[in-house]
Amino acid sequence: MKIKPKHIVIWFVVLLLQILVFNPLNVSGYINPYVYPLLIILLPFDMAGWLLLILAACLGLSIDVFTGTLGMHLFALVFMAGLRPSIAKILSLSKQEPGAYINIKQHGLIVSATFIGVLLFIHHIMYFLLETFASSGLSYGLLRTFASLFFSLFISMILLLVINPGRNER
Amino acid sequence: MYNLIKFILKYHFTILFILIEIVAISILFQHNKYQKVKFINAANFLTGSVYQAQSTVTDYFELRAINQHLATENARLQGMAEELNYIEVPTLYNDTVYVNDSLVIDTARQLHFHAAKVISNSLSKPFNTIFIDKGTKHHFYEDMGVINAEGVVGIVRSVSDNYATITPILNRNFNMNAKIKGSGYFGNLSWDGQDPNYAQLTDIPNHISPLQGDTIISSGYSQIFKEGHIIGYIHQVIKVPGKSFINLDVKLAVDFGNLNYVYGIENKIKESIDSLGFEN
Repeated sequence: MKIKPKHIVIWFVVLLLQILVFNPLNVSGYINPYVYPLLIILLPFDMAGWLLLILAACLGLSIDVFTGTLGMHLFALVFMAGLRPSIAKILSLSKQEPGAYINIKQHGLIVSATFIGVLLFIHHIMYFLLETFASSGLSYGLLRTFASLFFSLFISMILLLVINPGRNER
Repeated sequence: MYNLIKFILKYHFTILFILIEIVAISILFQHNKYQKVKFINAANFLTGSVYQAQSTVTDYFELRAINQHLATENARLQGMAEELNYIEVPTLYNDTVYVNDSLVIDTARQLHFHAAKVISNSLSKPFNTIFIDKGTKHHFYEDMGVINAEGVVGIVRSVSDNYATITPILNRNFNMNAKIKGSGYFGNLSWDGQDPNYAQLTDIPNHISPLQGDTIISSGYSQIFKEGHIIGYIHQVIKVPGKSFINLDVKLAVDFGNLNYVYGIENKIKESIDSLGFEN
């Protein structure tokens, strides 16, 4: 896959959305949607593993810098990126044409949502574990994880539709 | 070497993954004090509860020794109480009062002793650590001096709510100022990691000639230990050829192999002195 200007624009738009819109958003104290992992999820399946991890590290660190939580997003996002190849293999998404990435048209809504949902769950559970770190109890951490996960997944699917509306334009 | 490179190439993804995660965790702990404290708390809780469980069993085997120990200490305290009575009586009835040290009263008020039980201890490692069953809830804090009835034990290294770890004299990181009782000469007390019965006092000027058996006490130059806590007794004087210093082998007063109860010295004015130090 060639890097097009469109990809760079998507990268920055999602990053800015996360920092400026979703980070300050705090519905009823539980819900903090994190959609930026989508940028790592959307990378091509055949991308080199080391590049995937480095990109995840850079992205996680830049989110950390903006939220003042140095290390937490970095850890959670790299954790997610590290498990991405295995999840793709389990959902038999790894054997694809070169440059293919997850999209609704090719893989269907259910598979796309499962893939994104599982990876977002991994990211969220790691992040909220680190954030609350057993201080406010496991149940509170899990409640925050699932409440936020629901919103993150919802917004991610909408973003996915916007980014890749199903027309075969690649 | 070739195999190593092959290994790294084969598992580069996993290696890189683990490496980045380790970096992330270390950044996390460095910059987020809360997580760091929580982690130390959790770690101390785990080690603490394991050692406490072990201790509840082994305690019964040591009851006789502990009783003996407590009786000895009781006797010593009794003696001290008698001495105090002896001093106080003349102050009530005589016109003239001799006060050796006008700070005595203040010293008594600023120091509080908190007893703690040793739940784990080691002797054989270069970096020994003592675990005790008291923490911040019981007024223990970092850099607190710890003694027992016999003498100086160590310094509190880290505390959680209910447990604390102590860096004893028998730890290569341990360092304190100590002096020879009755002379003003002081040196640096540390442990060479060899014999758990002996520590080393270095940098004593060689123009004085201490005798075997002389008492080594804390110098009082830091607020961790006041002056006069017994550390040990000179066992051997070692002259270093060509140097203007001598080193002393100190037989430690505390029997680290048989450590049951220790006392943390809470120093009420340490904080104010520390803050003065920062301001200057």
